Amino acid sequence: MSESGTPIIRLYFNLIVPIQGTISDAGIAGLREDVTRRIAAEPVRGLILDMSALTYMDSFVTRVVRDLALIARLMGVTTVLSGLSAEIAITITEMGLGLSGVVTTLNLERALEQLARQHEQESRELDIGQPSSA
Amino acid sequence: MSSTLGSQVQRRSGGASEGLQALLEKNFAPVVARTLLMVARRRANCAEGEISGGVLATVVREIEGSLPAYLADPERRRACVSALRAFLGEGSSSGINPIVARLVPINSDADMQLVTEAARNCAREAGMSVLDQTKTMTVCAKLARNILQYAGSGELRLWLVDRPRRGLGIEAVDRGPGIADLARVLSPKYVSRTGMGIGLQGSRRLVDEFEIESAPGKGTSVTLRKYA
Repeated sequence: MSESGTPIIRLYFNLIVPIQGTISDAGIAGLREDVTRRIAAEPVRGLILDMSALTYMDSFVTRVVRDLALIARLMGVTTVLSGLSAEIAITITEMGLGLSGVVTTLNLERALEQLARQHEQESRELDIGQPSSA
Repeated sequence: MSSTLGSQVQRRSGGASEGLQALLEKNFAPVVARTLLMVARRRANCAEGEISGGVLATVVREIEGSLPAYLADPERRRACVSALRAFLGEGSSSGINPIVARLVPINSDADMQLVTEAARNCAREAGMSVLDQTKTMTVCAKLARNILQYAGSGELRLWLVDRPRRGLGIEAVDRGPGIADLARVLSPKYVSRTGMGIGLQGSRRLVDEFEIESAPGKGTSVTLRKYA
């Protein structure tokens, strides 16, 4: 558990962050710091924001997610959003909120698969075989 | 609804404190009536002096909120609430189920969880689907965040309605700086300093009725209806 109160789990080359609906303004600032610090310090290539613990998603939480994804992208890390419920998906579209530019998957398992596929493809394209840090 | 209520409140504000006391004494011993009124006034930030027009509705709601603790019999409680509503000048035709379901004070980030939990429980009580429960929570969270951000503190009131349809009444009130230009804030082009900039308009799309009242220096009140 980090100081933001949100756990960040590392699995292979991915960071998994279960976003909680009750996250506070202070928690957000802490989370942003924790995530960026770990991206900078560890050989991380993917960031998964898991939304399955959320019961609602207002514009505030939506912005937090979008910002985290943007920050991660600027640091060379791909973000995948997983586990959005049907109710939340409908609610945010009805509000007119969008999460364009962020890859989404049905659940955490699919998110891991998606990132693994992407890494594989990138490695092939660069023709350097397995990543040296593996 | 709010504007007509406002004028009626003004009309009745003379001697409001004595009037409420007399009304309560019909149902309670004088000392209990006095306590009820005193607690309600304190919660409404109007402990001293005459109850001014705009505050009367809040005081009455506070009294209603405390009634279940004093009157176990639902029939008597309903009668007492009707009397209070009549005193306010608000007839039963407004479609408001007289019992206030929840009142959540909003003072810090920590209250966000209480807000969304209360919203979900009330939405469920009102018979809403999981989707509408989610929408209700989303709207309440937005209103509460607005209060924390712009006013610092305030409160959220939730009550069940059964006319014209079953649903939930939601009111978010604060005594913050207020909104100077409502039309601008509600226009689709408006982008706030923080957030996604589509909060209020977005919230509006999630509910069936949306009313906002605000004056600079006096605070803001947002009243919503969401039907099941």
